[in-house]
Amino acid sequence: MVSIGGIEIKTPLALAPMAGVTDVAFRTICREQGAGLTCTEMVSSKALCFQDKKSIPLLKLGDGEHPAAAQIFGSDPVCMQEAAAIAHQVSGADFIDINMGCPVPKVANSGDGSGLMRNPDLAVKVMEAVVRGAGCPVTVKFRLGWDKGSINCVEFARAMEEAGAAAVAVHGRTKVQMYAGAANWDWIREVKKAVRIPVMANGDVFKPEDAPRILKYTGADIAMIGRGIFGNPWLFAQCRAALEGREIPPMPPLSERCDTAVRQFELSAANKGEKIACLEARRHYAWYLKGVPHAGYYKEQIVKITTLEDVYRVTKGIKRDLC
Amino acid sequence: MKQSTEIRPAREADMEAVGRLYTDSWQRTYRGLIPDWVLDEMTPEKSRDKWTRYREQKENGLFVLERDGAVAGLAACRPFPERENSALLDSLHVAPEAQGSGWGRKLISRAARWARESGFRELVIFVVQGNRRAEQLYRGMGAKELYFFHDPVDGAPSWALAWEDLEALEELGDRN
Repeated sequence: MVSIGGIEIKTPLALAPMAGVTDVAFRTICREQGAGLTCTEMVSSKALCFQDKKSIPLLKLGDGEHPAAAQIFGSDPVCMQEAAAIAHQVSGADFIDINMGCPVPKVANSGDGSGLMRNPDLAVKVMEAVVRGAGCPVTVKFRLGWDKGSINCVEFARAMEEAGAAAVAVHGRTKVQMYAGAANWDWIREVKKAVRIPVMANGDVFKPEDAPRILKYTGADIAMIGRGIFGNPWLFAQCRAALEGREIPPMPPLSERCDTAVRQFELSAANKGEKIACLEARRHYAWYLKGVPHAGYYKEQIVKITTLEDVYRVTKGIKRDLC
Repeated sequence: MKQSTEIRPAREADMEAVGRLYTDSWQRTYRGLIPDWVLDEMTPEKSRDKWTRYREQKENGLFVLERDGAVAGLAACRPFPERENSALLDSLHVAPEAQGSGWGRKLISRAARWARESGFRELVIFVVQGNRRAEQLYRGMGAKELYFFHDPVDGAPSWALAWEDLEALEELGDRN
């Protein structure tokens, strides 16, 4: 069994932190399906240091959501140290995870997220500061490098380990690639060979058999699933079966998938209020219906959802007409 | 005397003015909509550097509205790889003295032309919830909702809207 900083991860399957997607409601659903490690959406260290109250709910963990990480981003070591302490205290998370992989220009071009891969000396200072502030093991997620001419994930991983990281997660693309092209697992394997701490491999886990494949190919300790999980939390149960050599359970029928979606939106409404939850549900529900034949009419209905009543009405129609 | 106004690609010499316009516009438009700490951290110098770097990236488009020799508006666009064949209108600002004359619409139209000529098929824009004037303008010009989200940096609740017909959007800029 994998252990990060002395904390056991019972299933070597992690849910990648994704802003706007992996909120507490969706993480709860993913854990039910077998995710062994989850992480909050990224939270701005500056927002925490400036005591911006809007960031606090993002750090809330679900009931019994352990082991889990709270993710922060930023590039000012002083602020990151303070933010790590706040994030740990507020969330009660087992780990603080530092985001050094976000490729979004607004983040990366400010020197945060994957921008830190262009400044490894500062990244080390950030890691050391967060280790001092967090009061729990610290992990970090990064990419292969900024672009294909500056791939530095191996040295970067070593530097992070040296600076006190308890584990690293590597996404097999560069910042410039964003999410285009195939993830390069060879580099993840090189990272695994270079460090003693656990490595999480991330990128292009879309099918159940991809989980054992990425672990075998890279030698990594944990497979981390990102975009493959959109509207498909069952991928965790399927990956788990694949890892354990069991028969892969089929996707549940559409009516059951809709029930799960509705439950996710109800959980979300309980956490963020009905209005915000329903606006966000539009995107999630469209993912749940991806690939469902003849769903066009209901996809048009979904983008008009503003209340849970709308969710129930649309779901009833889907069950009546499409199941 | 007739005023001379034109929309043209930004030059290096515009960057000071762009930095001031962008900072002023954020601090005026977004007070109360996004956290104060974000606005209070902004300075014309930081904004100048941001847009200088932006302009230097050859895949981006940066246009200014020049009015009697002064920069009175800004449109910034770049590829939006989160979606296929998609460009993002990253930033759109018109100085208060130039507002109300359709220049925002013309800047959007210029961005649409840039997007089309760069081979993209849609133009996405983010609008902070509560910025009603901007939202009305975009929706009025045919932008459709893509999704609702919270900005990961400042936490502001926002809409992602998209124009799918770039040629039609270009033509809207020709109307006065």
